[in-house]
Amino acid sequence: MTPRLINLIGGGAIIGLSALFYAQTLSERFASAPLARNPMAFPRLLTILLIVGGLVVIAQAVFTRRGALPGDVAADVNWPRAVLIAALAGAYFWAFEPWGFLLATALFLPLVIVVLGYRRALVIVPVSAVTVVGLWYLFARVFQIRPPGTGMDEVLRMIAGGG
Amino acid sequence: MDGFLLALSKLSDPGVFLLMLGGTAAGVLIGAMPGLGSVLAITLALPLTFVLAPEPSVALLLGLYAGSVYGGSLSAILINTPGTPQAAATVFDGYPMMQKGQGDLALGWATTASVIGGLISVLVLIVAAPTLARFGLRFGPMEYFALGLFALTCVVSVSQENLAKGLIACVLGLLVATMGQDPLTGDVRLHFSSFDLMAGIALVPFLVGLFALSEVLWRVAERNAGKIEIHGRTGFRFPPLRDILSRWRVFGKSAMIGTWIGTLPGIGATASSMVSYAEAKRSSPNAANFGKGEPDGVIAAESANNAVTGGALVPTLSLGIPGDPITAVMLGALIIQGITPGPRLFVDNADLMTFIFVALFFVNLALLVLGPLLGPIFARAVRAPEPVLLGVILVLLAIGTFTVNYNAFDLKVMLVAGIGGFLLRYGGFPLAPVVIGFVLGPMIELSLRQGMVIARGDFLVFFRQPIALTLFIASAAFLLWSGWRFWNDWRRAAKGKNA
Repeated sequence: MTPRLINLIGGGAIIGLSALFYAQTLSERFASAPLARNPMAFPRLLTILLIVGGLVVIAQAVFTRRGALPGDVAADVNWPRAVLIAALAGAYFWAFEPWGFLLATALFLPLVIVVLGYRRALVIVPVSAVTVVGLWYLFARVFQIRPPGTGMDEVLRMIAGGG
Repeated sequence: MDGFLLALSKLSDPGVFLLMLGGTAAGVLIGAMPGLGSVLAITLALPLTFVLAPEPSVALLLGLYAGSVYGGSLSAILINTPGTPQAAATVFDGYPMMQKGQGDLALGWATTASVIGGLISVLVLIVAAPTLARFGLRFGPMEYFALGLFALTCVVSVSQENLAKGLIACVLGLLVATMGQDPLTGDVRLHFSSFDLMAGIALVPFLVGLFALSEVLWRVAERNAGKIEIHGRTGFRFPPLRDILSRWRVFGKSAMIGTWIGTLPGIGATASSMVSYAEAKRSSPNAANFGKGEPDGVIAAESANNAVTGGALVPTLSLGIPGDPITAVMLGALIIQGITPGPRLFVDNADLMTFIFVALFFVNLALLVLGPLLGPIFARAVRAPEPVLLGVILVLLAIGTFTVNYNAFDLKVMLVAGIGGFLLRYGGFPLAPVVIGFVLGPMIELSLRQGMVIARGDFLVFFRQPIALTLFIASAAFLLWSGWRFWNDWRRAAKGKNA
């Protein structure tokens, strides 16, 4: 992506976001409140400032050579990789409570390491096991904050019972 | 004196002492890993502070803070890559020393300089913070509003070359902070019909997402992130005492530059080490050797960047105004503990303040011991496969954030903030003003509106208060200066287009 395009999209996104927030400040309830007691006055002022800022970024991109502004550094970003990891992280965060920490992490950690390009099972398996069990004990036993879902005690009981 | 002895006895508690040492060691290692940095070190530990009492929390966070700033020098010297931006100037002479086979000595100089810089800044903190806090007791809402505005102006002016993007980032932080309950009337606003958003955006998930998660995503996505390799012998050697004494001027001057710059909002350790390096080069009899492995260059950079730690805590603790994202996170951590930084802190929590001074002093001393131990460990840790490291960090972020409130919504906030932080980085928007705006937002809005109530809606009354007026003038001067600088840069760029 060229710096001009990045700045045009960036400026546009800022304006879009500001418009979304501005719409939230248009409540009739506070229309007659004095400025100091109006809870929407300060956010509204901020959204207007953001819209102006977005317009300035767009203007700079249009009127500047190659659209690159002072301080712009064009980063070479691997978008598919970024989106994949963000999606994996999202799925992990989503599964965190319903599936529980142990199961969600035991699945996510090795998967994300492999997706990031590391394939040595002899390293991945012990690192994942130590991280999952170690963190569970650290939080549940040392900090007395039990992570969500099935705990290590139940897992050990299940293993013992099964055996 | 009683307070000092009490602080010492609290620090000598094995649990507290171990947390301080552990925090310092972890800070050194995280700071040394390129791209991770001080903010990530502290945000990772932030959720843990919820289950700790104020003293152990503070000991842990101060250890992480000073340790991570020092840690950047390890990678700067050993692998020619500053672990943190603060150590950028250390590369200039640290790595050439490594190439000459003096890497062990360069680490020794960096450690000595960091410790001396840090200790001098603690002494300044002990003297300056209570004085500034006493002055701060005269502040009312109007002065606080002006001070908050001044801090934001400083951060915006120096955080990035592009003023417009700096301003946008700052306003974005302020806007996100307004979501949820209005601090004055209690009305709920900007909740987008979401029940979870009615409580507002919590500090920890927002900060962890914005800095730590976006950093992980950035490292995953950046194609130019090079492979880390160490060339040459690694070890550790302290410089002889007479060599240290003969360079006392460089140590002292650099520490004072770092401390002074640290007290100014927004400028931070990176600029301080650059300024200090430039000054050392200008005034050194060995100026010709700078850039070729001159110890004075390492001393100037390291003494200044570690001196910022004490300096930056002066406005944070005495006025409640953080100067950079690191102290903003520290401020958040104190608030979580039920401690509100500001002038009253020295009256209401005098013992804790003394503890902070003592703990920071010992954290700096701990670097003398940990430096020689952790240099070789870092040399091994840096060879750890990055995918494993990033995967474990993602898990730590999730469990740390979730267990703060035991709320799955916080994970969503972290994810959105992380993706937002990533996009802001990609678009060239600085992150520091976002977080400073977010942290200072409630204070700025509340003091503005309280001031307006006192002034019966007449904003001009703000300009009749001498302290507020001085701060407004300083803010305007900063903005005009950076606006003029930006206008010149832009004109040059625009001329280039037409040429």
